[in-house]
This record gives sequence, structure tokens and C-alpha cells, in this order.
Amino acid sequence: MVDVSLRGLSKSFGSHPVVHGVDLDIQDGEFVVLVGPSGCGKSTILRMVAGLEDITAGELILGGIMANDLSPKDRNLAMVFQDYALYPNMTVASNIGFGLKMNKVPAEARERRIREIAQLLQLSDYLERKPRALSGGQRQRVAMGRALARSAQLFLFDEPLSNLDAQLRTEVRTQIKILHQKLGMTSIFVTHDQTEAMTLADKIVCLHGGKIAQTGTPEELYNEPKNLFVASFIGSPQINIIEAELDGDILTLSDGQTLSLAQKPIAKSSKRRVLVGIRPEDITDESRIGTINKSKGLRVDYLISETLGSDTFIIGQLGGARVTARCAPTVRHMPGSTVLLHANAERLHLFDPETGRRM
Amino acid sequence: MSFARRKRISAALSYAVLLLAAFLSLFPVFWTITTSIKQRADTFVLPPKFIWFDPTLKNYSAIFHTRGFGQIYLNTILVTLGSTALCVMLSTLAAYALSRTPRFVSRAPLEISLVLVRAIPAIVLMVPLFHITSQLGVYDSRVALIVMYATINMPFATWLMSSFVGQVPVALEQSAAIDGAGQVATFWYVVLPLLLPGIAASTIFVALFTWNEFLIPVMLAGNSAKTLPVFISGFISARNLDWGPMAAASSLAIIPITIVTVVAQRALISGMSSGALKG
Amino acid sequence: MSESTRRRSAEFLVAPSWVLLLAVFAAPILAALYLSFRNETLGAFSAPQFVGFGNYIAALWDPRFWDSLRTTLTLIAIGLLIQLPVGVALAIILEKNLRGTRLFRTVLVVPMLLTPVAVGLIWRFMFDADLGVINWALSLVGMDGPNWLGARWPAIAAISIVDSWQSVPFIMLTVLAALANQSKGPLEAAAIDGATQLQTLFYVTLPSISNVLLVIITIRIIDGMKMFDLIFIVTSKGGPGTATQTLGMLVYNTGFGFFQTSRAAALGIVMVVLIAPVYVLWRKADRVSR
Repeated sequence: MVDVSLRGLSKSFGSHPVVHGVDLDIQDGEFVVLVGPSGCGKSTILRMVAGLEDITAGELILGGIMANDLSPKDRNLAMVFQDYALYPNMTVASNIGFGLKMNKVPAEARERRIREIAQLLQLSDYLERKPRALSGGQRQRVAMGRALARSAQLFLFDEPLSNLDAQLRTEVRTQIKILHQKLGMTSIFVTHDQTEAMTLADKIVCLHGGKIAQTGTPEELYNEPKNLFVASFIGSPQINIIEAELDGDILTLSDGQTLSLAQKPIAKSSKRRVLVGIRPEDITDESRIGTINKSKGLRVDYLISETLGSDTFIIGQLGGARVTARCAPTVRHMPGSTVLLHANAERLHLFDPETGRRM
Repeated sequence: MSFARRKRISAALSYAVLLLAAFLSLFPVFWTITTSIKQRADTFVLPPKFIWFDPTLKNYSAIFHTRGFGQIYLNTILVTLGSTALCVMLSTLAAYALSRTPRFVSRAPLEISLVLVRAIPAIVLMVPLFHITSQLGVYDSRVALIVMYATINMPFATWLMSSFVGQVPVALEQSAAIDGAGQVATFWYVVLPLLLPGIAASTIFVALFTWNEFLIPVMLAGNSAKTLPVFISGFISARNLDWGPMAAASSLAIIPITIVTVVAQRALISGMSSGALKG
Repeated sequence: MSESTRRRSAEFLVAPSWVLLLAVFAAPILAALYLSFRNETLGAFSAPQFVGFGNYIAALWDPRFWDSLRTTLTLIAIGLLIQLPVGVALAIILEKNLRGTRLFRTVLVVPMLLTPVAVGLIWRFMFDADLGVINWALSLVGMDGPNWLGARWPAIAAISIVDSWQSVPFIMLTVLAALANQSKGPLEAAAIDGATQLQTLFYVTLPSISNVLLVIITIRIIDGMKMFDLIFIVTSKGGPGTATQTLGMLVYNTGFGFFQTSRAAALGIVMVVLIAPVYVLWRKADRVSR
């Protein structure tokens, strides 16, 4: 395993820049997830690390070695592709053993390793099959097995779960997490799905427009998003964003209702416009009042509710914005009625409407 | 008229058209083969004898006893094998480069050259090629034919192979590269096995075209590299053609093709539909 | 793999093809250009010399050139008029995938693959005025078949028939591939909208493959300009007399019949120039169709 450093890594296709100077350090054994909407450059970064794309500018350092000009085969890494890229003409066993063969591992040792891996991934019964005779989940495991067979110094995952159905995706996610716990491989995982990022990562790198929006643990990104983008990208359902005017520690919404902050803001400037972010679980109704620090009630025009069983999300209109509130599953409201909701004053996020930065 | 009834009528019409087309397609083949085993007298009677004639192999034995016929058949086979192998090999490599590398210096010139080879009538090249081969001392040699056939069939084979290379996911090659395979190993272990159906299709087509080629050997081969089509063309004379032996010689050319077509129909049809658009 | 490595290996992969293309194609074309400006004649007594555009002027001044150009274009036009409708119709029928029609796909392809020389000979045999099976069949329905290969127009008709017989399968297969690739959505929408089969054909199917048809037409024109084997055999190098002498045949007869090397080269270059616009059209249609 190895430490990985990206120093000002940049990529342009022709004159069109897609990655702008990304800096990132990955410790040995760490599981890093690159997350962001499509087109944010996350896959390009991964492919530059893999050596599948040339690096336009910046440095890639693998285990202390400048790796910009190494060919993929000399980087000693393993990769799980989005559509698995299994060799259709080879059996499962040959797929898993291909990397070993290419690295001149003798046949016997190869056999042993293939059997080990197959055992680990419950593929022992399928070793002689061709990929086309496997289910989606099995193919995914073969792809994992192929990556694991060689004890590569770095594992790359390019949206490896996106071709699985929802249930299988959760299952495989857990499996990857368990494998990582067991084997401790240094990993970079690319996904557009923030749930995958939250559940898998030791460290999340949230990307936006080819730049890093924020790097940190899942908790940091969730609890202290540095900017509006991270706040709204991480978390499901999405964070509620409401326009307000801040005066001292009082927030006034556009419909005149007010909220008071738990602590006074450091900046003592006079009145200014802000964007208030409230996560759905931080705004709730009477039924869950005990769980949060109570603030003055807010009147919300009720629109609809979505029941999940464990919770019911109430969706309504507040101060010109649509808000989602997590409530107890028992609530019932009539369309058109007004609901009294309470926001947790300690967990309000304030953002500058111009820069989008956290205040 | 009801929907079902209209459908039945249209199906019946379709079958009728297909049967007529099949008859027209196969009759000349049938006629060649039957003529080749007819007695001379049966060849020239009216009404023609389609089935009830006294079969004979005399025409074939006449052909086989023609001086140099063995050499001619051998030439045709060797030239076909040699130029097909050469053409398919080079075309596969070129197609791999063309469909995997969007930008390289000789790409555009190569593409244009291939199109020109396809578009420019070979007859234009014949006069100069006659001089060139004579000068190099390879006029009337199998090697010269092999090289020339391989070249004129290169556009077709390259385009056909490109469409097959295009179907191999790039991710496979990237995966192989990450697994530690170099370019040669990637091509050999990962790409080539997946190209086999395409190679089969191109091989069959190029072999057929080569087997049938007439223009080049009629001008650039004399007696020692003479091929079957040239031999067959020798049966033309002003009047009173020697129909029996001619039909026998023609049969010797078309029977192998008919067999190949039936045996390899799958590869042929898939090859045609997957990129032979340019003919 | 870095971009520059990849480019280098691409050059390497196409290098063998270049060797053949330069030797068998580029060199002869340049040689033809060179020859076309000289007065080389096989077995001439005087030393050949540079004659400028003399060969071109002589070639274009020669009525045989215009006759053969007219013959070539006539054959192309008649051929397309027969082959295109027949090929498209057969493709449409095969596309329906009626029960038992898979075999026809193979059977109908056979003519395309057969040795043109053998095919030409056997048709020549069948076209024989007195003993041919075609005139016999015509006599059964009370028609007096012409002396097919004895006069210009019957001979042109005969060549067109043989050429169509060999070329229809190509058109059929190409259209079939295009039909198989077209999306079924518009067809079903047209059916729901109440279009008849014929309306669907003309308003949906044919427009959707119009570019493929254009590609086919250009290819057939190019092949028509190149037509050689069939003429060589069916009408014995363009007979009767020079009644069916096409451009390709004229080049052949000039170069290998009368041994006027330079004149033949000039005619060849003229042919290339004539094909150039078709070539441009082909590339354009081909680009759109994929």
C-alpha cells in the first residue's frame, strides 16, 4: 500500500479545461471517495491517477515516486470499471488471474491466488464460466476479484455500483466496506451518489466544476459544509435553503417570520441578506419536539407529505421556498392547512448569497 | 378487406416474389452445372433438356487434361490464400490503429488513400503496373499478384475490420493495461480473440474477391501465374463456343464459392450488415 | 499509455499497409501521370518524348471517347433504374422476417459472390440468339427474342441484365442492414396514426434510409465506371464492333490492344477526374449515414 499525492493536478481536453489544479493527499489504507455531479471531473481525476489519461499539468506522486509519465502497467494499481470490463473471451478464473499472468506470476501460485480470491468473494462455483453466463452481481464480484488478485498498491473504483439495481447496490456497498476493513487497501472510489460517498468514505472529496468544493470526513461535510454546493449535494433529502435577512442574531424570512440563532454571529455588521440552510431533520413538528432544541414555531403552508414508514417528510412552503421537514410517521395534515414547525437553532447553516460560502 | 386477410395476401405476394428471385438467382448456377455434365449433343438441343439427359464427366476430364490446368488451379489457390492472409493481417492492424487512435500523422492520408483505391478504376493502374512489374522482373509471378490483390482489397477489409474493432469496448484494453499488460499483450490476449468473428468474415470476403479477380491477372499474368478466371475467359470465341468444357471450367470456379457461401452464411451476412456498406 | 506513445504505435500499425499502398497504388498513379504527358507506344521506333497535353487533347478529340462515355453512363443509368427498386423491394420483403425466409437471405446473395467471368460466360450462353435458353423461354410465350449480342441496344440490355443480376444482392443486403438499424418507434407511431403500409414505406421507411440509398447510388456509379469483367466477357471486349465499349474497356483496348501506352494513361487520368465529383458526393453521403 502507498501514500498518494495529487499536486495541482489539471486536465484539459483541447482548450477545454475539465480539472483545475486539484490538491489531495491520501494516506496509506485510506478509503477516499470522489463525489460530485456528472461532469465535475471526478472520473477524469481517477483516470489520470490510473494513467488512462495524460496529465495536462500538476504532479501525481505514488508512494513517493513522481508517476506522471508511468504507463498504467507500471503503476501497480488495480481498477474496477463501471461496466466491469471483464474479458468476455476468458473464464472467471482467467479474468481473475490475468493480471497475475501479465506480471509473470508462476502458474501454481496463480492458481492458488485465484482460489483464494474466489473463496473470499464467493465465486468458487463459477470459476469456469464465461462472464456472459453470470448475473450482474456476480460480474461485479469478478471485477472486484480481478482487482484484488494482484496485491496492487492502490485500488481505483470507477462508479462500480451504478449498473446494479438498488437492492444489490446496498449489498455490494456493505461488502466493499467489509473488504476494506479486512484488507485495508488504499482506495479511491468515484461516484455521483452521495449516499455511497457517505457510507463508504474515510474521506470525501466533493468536486464541483473541476475544483474541490470540500474535503473532509463524511461528518465534516454533512455537519459543516463549507459552501452552498456541498450543503445541497450531501444529504438526502436535500437541505432546505431559505432566503432571510440577518440582524444581530435574528433572522427575518421574506414572509416576516423570524428565527433566532443559538449563538451570536462573529461578524457584527448590520443587516444583511443571507441564505439559511436547514437539514430536514433539523426542522420538525410537535411530535418530535423533544429531540431538538426548541425554537419559536414557524408557520408553514402544508403541501404534501411523503411517508417512508420510519419517518414522514412534510413538504410545505416557507418564506417563498419549499421546505422538507422530517416528522413522526403518525402525522396527518389537510392540504391547504398551516402547520407549525420548529427549527433547531443550533444547527442552522448560514451562507453568503453572493459567494455561496459558509459564514 | 379485413386486416387479417390483407396480411395474408401481402404474405403470399412476398413469398411469390422471393421464390421468383430465388429462381432467377440460382437458375444460371443450375444451368452451368448441368451443362457441364451434358453430352455435347444435349447442350445444343431445343427445347433444352433440364433434367432428363445422360450425364457425363467428359467435359471435366477434358478440362483436367488441358495442358497446365493443374498449375492454373494451384496458382488460383495459392494466390487466394497468400493475398487473403496478407490483406486481412495488414487490414486488421490498420483498422485497429484507425478506430482506436483518433489522431496520428498518417491517419488522414491513409483514409483518403483507401477511399481512392476503392474509387479509382484499377484499369488506370494497369499500364504503369505492367511497366513496373516488368522492370522489377515480377511480371507474371504469383508474388506480384498476391501483393496487388491484397492492396486492392485493403479498403474493404480495413473498413469491415474497423467496424468490428469499434465493437470491442475500450475499457477492456484499459483494464488490461492496468492489469499490467503491455500494448502487444493487450492486443494479443484481449483484442484479437474478440476480433475473430470479424477476421473470419473479412477472410471469407477477401478470399472470394480474390478468387474472382480477373482484371489484374488478365493483364499482369502470362502463362506461369495464370489464374482460373483468365483460363475461363479463354473459352470465348466468335461463335460456336465450346459450351461443355466452358461450363465445366466455370463450375470449378463457382462450386467452391457456393459451398463456402452455404457453410459460412452466418459470417457472410453478419459481415455484410456490420460495415460492408462501402462495398 | 501516453498520447504520444499511442500515436507512435498507430503509425507503426499502419506502416505495412502504407508499403503496399505506395507500391501498388501511389507509384502507378504517379507513373500514369508521367506517362500521360509523353508519347510512349509499345514497340515504337522513335524515342518517346514529352508531348504536354497532346494525349489528353487527342483523347478528348476522339469520338470513341465520347461514345464510350455515353455507353458507360447509359449502363449506369439503366442499371440503377433496375437494381435500386428491385434491391429495395427484396430488402423490404426479407425485413419482414416471414416464416422460412431466412434461407432466402443466403440464396439471394449467391449471384454477388460468383466469379464474374464465369457468370458472364454462362449468361452469354443463355443469351445465344439461336440456342440460348432465354430466347427459347421467350418463344414459349410467343415472343421473338432479339439477337441479344448482335446489336447495340440488345447488347446493352443484356449487359444491364447480367450486371443487375450480380449487383442487386449488394443493394439488398445494404438496405437490409439499414432497415435493421432503423428505430422501430416511428414505424409503430405511423401504424397507430393510421398510415397504410404503402404510406409508411414512402413517408417513414424510405426517408429514414435515404442517406444509405445515396451511398448505394454513388457506389454503384463508381462501380459502373469501373465495370470491366462483364463487358470483356459478355460482349467480347465491347462488341459488336465498339457498340458496348465502356471507358474501362476503351482504356484497355487503347493500352493493351493498340499498345498506345501514353494515350491509355491519359484516358485513365481523365476517368479519375470524371469520378472525382462522385467521390465527393460519396464521402458526404457516407459521413451523414453513420
